[in-house]
Amino acid sequence: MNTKSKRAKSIKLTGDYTIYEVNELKQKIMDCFEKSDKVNIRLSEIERVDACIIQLLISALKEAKAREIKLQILDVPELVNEFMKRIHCEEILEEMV
Amino acid sequence: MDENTQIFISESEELLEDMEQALLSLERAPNDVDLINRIFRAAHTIKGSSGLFGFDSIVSFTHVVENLLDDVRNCLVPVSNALVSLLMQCKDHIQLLVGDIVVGKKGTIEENYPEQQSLIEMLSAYQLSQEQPVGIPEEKLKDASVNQDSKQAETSSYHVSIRMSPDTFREGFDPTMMFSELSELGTIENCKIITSNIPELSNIEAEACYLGWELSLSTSADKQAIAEIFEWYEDSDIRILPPKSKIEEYQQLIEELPEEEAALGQILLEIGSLTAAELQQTLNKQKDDGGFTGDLLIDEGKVQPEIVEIALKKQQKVRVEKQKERGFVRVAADKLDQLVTLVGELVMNGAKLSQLSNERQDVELAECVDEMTHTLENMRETALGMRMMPLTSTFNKFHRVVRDTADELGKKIRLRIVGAETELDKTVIERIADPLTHLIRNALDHGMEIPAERRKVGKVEEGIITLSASHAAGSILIEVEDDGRGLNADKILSIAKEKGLVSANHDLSDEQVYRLIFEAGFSTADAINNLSGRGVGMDVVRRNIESLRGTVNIASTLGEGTKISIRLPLTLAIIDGFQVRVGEGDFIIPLESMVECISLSDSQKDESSKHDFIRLREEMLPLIHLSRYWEIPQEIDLLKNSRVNLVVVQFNEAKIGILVDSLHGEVQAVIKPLGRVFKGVQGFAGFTLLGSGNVALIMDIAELVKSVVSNEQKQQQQIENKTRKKTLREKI
Repeated sequence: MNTKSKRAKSIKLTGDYTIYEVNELKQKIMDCFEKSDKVNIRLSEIERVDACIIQLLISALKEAKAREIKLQILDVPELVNEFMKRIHCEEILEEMV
Repeated sequence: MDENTQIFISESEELLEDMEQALLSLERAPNDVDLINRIFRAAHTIKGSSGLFGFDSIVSFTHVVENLLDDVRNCLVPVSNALVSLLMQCKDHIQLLVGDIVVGKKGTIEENYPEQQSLIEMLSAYQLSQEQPVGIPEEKLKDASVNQDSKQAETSSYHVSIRMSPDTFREGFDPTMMFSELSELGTIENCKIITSNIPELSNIEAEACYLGWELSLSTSADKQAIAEIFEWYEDSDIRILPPKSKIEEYQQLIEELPEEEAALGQILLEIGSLTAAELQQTLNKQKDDGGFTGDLLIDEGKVQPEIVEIALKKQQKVRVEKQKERGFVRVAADKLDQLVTLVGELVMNGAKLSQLSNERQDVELAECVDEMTHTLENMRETALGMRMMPLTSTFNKFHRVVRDTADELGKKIRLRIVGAETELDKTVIERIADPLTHLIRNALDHGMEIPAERRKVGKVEEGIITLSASHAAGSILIEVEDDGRGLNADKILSIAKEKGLVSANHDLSDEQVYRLIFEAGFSTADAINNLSGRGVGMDVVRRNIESLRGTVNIASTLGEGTKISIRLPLTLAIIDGFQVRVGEGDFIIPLESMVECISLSDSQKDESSKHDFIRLREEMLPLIHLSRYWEIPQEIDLLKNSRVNLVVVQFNEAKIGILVDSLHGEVQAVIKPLGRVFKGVQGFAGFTLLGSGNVALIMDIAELVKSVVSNEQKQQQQIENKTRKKTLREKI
């Protein structure tokens, strides 16, 4: 029986998100995946990001796709856009949002 | 020590181990460019990470080693045995420096490592002596020159393939630094991030890096300048193809790229054979015409047929490899241990259920329990199988031991390894390395002759030590065999008598004489050196093997060689045992040690109550009365009881009889270690829980047999002494 909530679960990233926070973020996303089939990750208040976090988001998208969960990355600020361009993964960003 | 330093140490140790294996292989294949690169990479990575942790002494020494290795890579210094030996010493020195981090040694380098300066001087001498390129391997020549006969791919920029090392993030590197440096050198024309290696969220190791890029770079800089950008990403897989590279180089690139399932078009794009636009155009055309991508690309003249062929082969290979890969999952060793323990508990519960079912005499229940027992047995075997590891890594380490020891002794010896793929429980593997080292060093020192001596007796100069492993009747047989001078039974016996290890009038078979070399304090070495001669090693070998429930045997022919055979159980976790009862206590006798169970005749009962032996089929069999040995209150009076049970057990060649009150049949026992309080109690290997919930102690047959045999020898010695004194008195 599907006991998941129909309401979307949201995660809001605030402040620095780098390798030091990656495990914590992974756990947060996994928890949301367990609870709902719709998950939103909001990046508007993120102040710093690194490639490790971007990689985690890609990984989350893969998991969501496999489990038929609707995962959306929302409110992507300019600093994240810029960072993704610097590591040449703009295409991925387009898929994400 | 903090966690990061521990990681640094363990990684450095792994790299040094790899370096050693590559150096040993390089000695046999001095022109192997891959080996040279492997050694360089190991040194370079150790230097880099030492720098990050501030271990300057390692950085400065490894830097000198790395410089020489760089010259070797560039064919400025030829590979020779002497060079390999020097590099091996350097590897040992780095290992010492890394090891001293744990100790936290204080003082200057000159004080702590006086040998370092002479190593540095030897390294520098190599570099100074080479001014012109020498001994350039053919492969390098191919790389360095433009081969006019080879076709060139139609690219006008450098193609760079990047697969980051898993540790990139953890080591504090960020790919953005790499891209800004590349941009300073030229223009990144096409760049595609490779995300296919990133696992799904539930499987990802979040701090590891799985990223890669394929890019084309337009620049006037040379290949070296691009390579320097990646200097600190040495563990990463970086490939740089110059403009107009040869087809063969693309072939190599495609074949060596990390395996990932990708469409043909994507692979061609990744290697820079196509631009994204060309690919898109071709794919559109394919959609309209329904043609095959590879053919279309050739027809349109966008890519050469050879590249398409290579890429197709690669795709096929990738699919096969991917299918194989999907069959494996990495599991932490402690989880496997936990699984084995749980399966062990299940096996015990199964035994309990089986006992209950027998008591109830319910046919349906009995059938059900039988089926479950069968499944449990399969489960037990599967769980134990998961802990099995090949002996390869343990065996390979002996190449170095043989090489160095043979050099030290001025002998020519080659190590031959057979059956290294044989699998054994990981705990057994961890504990067998030391005894094997002792045996091999002894073979090198005592067994093998120097070349002149070998020539004299008509043998080839180079001796061979064979280290082999194989399955043998439910156990593993590891053998160390040499073609040296063999054991001299007369010499061993005379030394043993001299040292009082055997009595003067004792008759022993050759096999029994050979076994004396395992006695404490025995040594036939004429001189004590740093390898052997103190008679300590072989005694320890025997004890270590016996503690693994193993046995060791020796066969030898004088002048031809010696073979030492070690038989080990497949696992230490579970044993097949036989349950017996003495007084109120339950005991397990390992089935492998049991010879037979008999019921004593009246005369034997009488004999056993008076002496510590009985006559069994014309042979004297020493007895052990467990009730007396462990001071267990006995319920049965031997003389009055109608049935007295004797279990005959054997260890090596010695047999003893164990008197027990009752026999309860075979059981599978999950071995649990005894606590500290039992440290002083002799004769137990552990304990197990029975189906009834009772605790049963598992007997250590080796110890019991040795104790009985040693008592017997003492008694014999006392009788001999008494007789001697009596004779002497009579003479006086």
